[in-house]
Amino acid sequence: MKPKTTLLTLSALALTAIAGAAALRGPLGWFQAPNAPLPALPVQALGVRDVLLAQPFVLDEPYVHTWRAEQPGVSAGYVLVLEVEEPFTIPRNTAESVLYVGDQTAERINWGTDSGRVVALVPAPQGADGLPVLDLAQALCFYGRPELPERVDAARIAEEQALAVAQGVGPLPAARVAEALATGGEVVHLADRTTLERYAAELVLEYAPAEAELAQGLLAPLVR
Amino acid sequence: MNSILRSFATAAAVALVSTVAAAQVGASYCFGVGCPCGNDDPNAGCGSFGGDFNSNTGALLLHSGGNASALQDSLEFTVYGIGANQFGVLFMGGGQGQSTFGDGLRCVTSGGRGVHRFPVFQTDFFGDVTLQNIVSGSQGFPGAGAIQPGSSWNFQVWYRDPSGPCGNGFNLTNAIPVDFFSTGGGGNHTQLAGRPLAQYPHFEYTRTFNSGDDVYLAVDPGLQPSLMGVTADVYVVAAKGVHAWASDPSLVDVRGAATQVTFGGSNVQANTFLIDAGTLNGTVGTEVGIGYDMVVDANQNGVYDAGDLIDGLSDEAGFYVVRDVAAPGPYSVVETLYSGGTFLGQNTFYPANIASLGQVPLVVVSHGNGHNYQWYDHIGNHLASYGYVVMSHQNNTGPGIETASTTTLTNTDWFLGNLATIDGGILNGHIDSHRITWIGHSRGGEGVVRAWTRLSTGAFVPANFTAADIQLVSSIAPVTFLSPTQSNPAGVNYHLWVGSSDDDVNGLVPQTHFYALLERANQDRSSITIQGAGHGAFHNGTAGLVATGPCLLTRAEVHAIMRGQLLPLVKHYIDGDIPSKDFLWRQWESFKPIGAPPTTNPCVVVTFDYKDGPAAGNVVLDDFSTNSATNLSSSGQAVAFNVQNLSEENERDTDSSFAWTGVQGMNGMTHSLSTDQNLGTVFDWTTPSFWEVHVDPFEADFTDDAYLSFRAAQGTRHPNTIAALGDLDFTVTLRDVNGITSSIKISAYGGGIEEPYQRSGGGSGAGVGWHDEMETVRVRLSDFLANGSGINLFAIDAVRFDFGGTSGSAQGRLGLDDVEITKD
Repeated sequence: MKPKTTLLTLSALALTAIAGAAALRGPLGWFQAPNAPLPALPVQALGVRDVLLAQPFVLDEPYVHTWRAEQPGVSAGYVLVLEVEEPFTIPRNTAESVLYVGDQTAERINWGTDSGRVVALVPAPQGADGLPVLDLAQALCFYGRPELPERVDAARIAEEQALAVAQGVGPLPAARVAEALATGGEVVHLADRTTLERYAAELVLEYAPAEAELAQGLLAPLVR
Repeated sequence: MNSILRSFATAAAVALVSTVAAAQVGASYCFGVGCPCGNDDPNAGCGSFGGDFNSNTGALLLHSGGNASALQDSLEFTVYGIGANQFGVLFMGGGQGQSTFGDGLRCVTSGGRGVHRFPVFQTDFFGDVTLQNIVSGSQGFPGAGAIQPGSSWNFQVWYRDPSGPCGNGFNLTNAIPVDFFSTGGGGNHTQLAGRPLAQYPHFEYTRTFNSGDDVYLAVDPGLQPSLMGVTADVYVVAAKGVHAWASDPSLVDVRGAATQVTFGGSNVQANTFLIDAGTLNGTVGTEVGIGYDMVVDANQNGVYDAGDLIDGLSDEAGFYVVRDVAAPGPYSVVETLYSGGTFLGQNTFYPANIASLGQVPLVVVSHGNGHNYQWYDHIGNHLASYGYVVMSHQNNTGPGIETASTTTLTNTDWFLGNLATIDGGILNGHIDSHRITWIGHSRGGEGVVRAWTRLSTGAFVPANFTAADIQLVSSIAPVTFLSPTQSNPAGVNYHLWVGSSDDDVNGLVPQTHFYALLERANQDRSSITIQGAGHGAFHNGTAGLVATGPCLLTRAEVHAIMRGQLLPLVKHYIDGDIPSKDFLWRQWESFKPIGAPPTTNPCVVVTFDYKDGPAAGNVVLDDFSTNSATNLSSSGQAVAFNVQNLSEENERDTDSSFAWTGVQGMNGMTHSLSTDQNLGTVFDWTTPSFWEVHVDPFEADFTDDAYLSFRAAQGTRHPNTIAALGDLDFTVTLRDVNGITSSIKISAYGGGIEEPYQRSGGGSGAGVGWHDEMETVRVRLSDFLANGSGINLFAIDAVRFDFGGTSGSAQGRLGLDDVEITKD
């Protein structure tokens, strides 16, 4: 299938979600409060409040998922835009809370600083039809205990899921998931990881404009 | 003296012998006048049947070379032209006289100090021989026979001459008097230039001066007695190497005229003179500074010759005047942003005139987590303006340290492999891939160390560079997630930046024990700790300073410090720049980059920890890492003390709190993880107390060394630290085998052991005072000779630290480590 470009459509659809999210919460002001101390990092499994966009993707050329110990190859998955709690949006270099979606670690493209919105890549296996297989309506979506994602393996993921369930974490509301899937639209077919990254960077510009510099870094002119 | 210096000294002697006056140490006497059987030769010794046989060649039989430094021991005597394969003896005495002896004249007498003979020698086929190790060779002589700095001796050679003109079978050469002096330390050169101090040793000989600084000259009458009463001209000359001095000893003062001084008085204070009031230029091209030699022209003849003193008779200048290293360099800078694909985004800075610069070194910057590769403009612009290419890259820090290290490696490799395409190929052919610096921040700071470990162990093999090409690794506020086997800068020069206000990598939990990476380094290593600097202050992004604590520094202030320290750091390790080394260890209070925040700002507190790699040949007296018994040093020598609560432990805070509990000796120490083994000692005092270590007799000769070096930190939140609440001062003492001592307070050079940063909270428990700040103190060994202390640096028995009472701060708690004798 020929990859298609859906950025403009995606951007237009996203505007509604952005407006809605902005009404829910104001800017956190991390970038505007340069001397603020780091907030304490929660140790409980929680933190994901909503999903604003869910975009399935398929790649012609797989990449390595470096955000878990097994480092699996990724040919398909979802780009998610999540709305998260403030303590998880402040970058830190000590261990951060790891973001889980279902039985997978998610790769955060941004932190959600000042916007509360995180663009994340979630690898998923491909079904017989070649599309990513991930039931977002059933998947637990949460921040687990602080750790370096590259040290998280399947056993740790299972442990984190159990802890999350014990703390009352459940799937996101089905209606919100359906709405996010509708916002995301059809599966996008992209050439490779670099193209996917640039796709995600556009979402950062739209959903998390305070992190525009990060997105612009991902969108630097290619010289290859 | 190490082999390099020996080679140098020999080369210097050979070179200088070829000149006239500059060759000789001491003016010869005892020429061939009044010889026993009419064999006079008034230009040499009495005639013989050797090379001087009846020929009146005018050639001296005995020559001196090297110099008269009792510390360097580079003096040598060469005998020319006596019989082939003949035996002879060099001897010395304290007096001069003249009497016939054999076929010649004996002109060296006891002078009340004995006549002492060196081992028998034999000339070569040409009748020549060169004799070295004069000073060290004298140390076994009885009585007062050991040559000391400040002593004067006369030398002459007795030699067999079986066919001599008078039939006595032996003869003597001319004689040479030598006034032995101290070099002033610093290894291989006489020290003259420096600055006065308010207390003993009253003068600090320094290698590097900032532009605008006053430059003083000091001569210690005890070490240069022959100069007392002498009026001399002091020249500041554009630095010349030893061969240039040999070929052209004329003196041309860069200031236009020499300064006339008259030496006299009884101490170094009376012989300290202002030579230049800050007029010397320190700015040229992209150099850190400009070298000068200082010459005391004792006979005021405008030529460097016998009897003169020189600071700079080597390929190292006598002293350097340096520019404002925090200010931009001479080149305009081009910045370019591009990407080679996933995690290959790069922000590169290069001199606009790169096409005319040949091959220049590469500096790679790896950002931290939540940071951005476009946030290091202050590094890129600064170093590129001095002729470096700086590439800051997208760093995969989110997953952890391993992925960050991968992106450091792959970005360096991709950059070097794609020079033909980056910015139209303007860099192609202009990168010296054998001179690479890696700088990493935070997770990137450990990432560059991990990258080095993978590279140096062969776990990662790039296409376009090797481990040998990485000359320097520098970590800014690094995390420490990985064990010593995984993140280890062993084998490369390593540097560390620490901000004491860091609210992210704060030193509390083990994964932030940043100094552990420094301890793992085994080559040259150094750190700079900046009080008031937050985690985000090291980049120039839009995110916060990530700082807590009092007296926070602005990003601009921290960047001024960074620029001023980074340039000398890179210049030193990448270009071998000599004056830059001073920036790595001297007390900030007495020497700092001109453009760094002023010392009048009490919030700007900076300390340094510096240690040479093993190639320097330093002597470890005690690093506390072996022989854990408190009464035994790591060099196997006895340790004595009466300080209180002394223990030797791993330098590791174990409870993630800096509160003083009374049971954790290394509270606040962040130099080790549980997987590290890095021991130091810690103790406290409230009354006059001491700690001393004996010196291995085989290492007792300190004369070819430069500094007594150690590092120390105040004990975090200890009651004595809180009570003292200031820089700690104490006294260091050398004691020789005869029990003669010489003592110097560490405050003499400015500062002391720094007061800990008064930060509180942060989950660190009650009280104020943050992590330890180990700083290195180096005391020039020759300073212990000042004003006739009488100590014998050839035979040091013990190094002692005295605390309390008149020795310094009344009370305190101190962590102490790495007591060494260094070569430079």
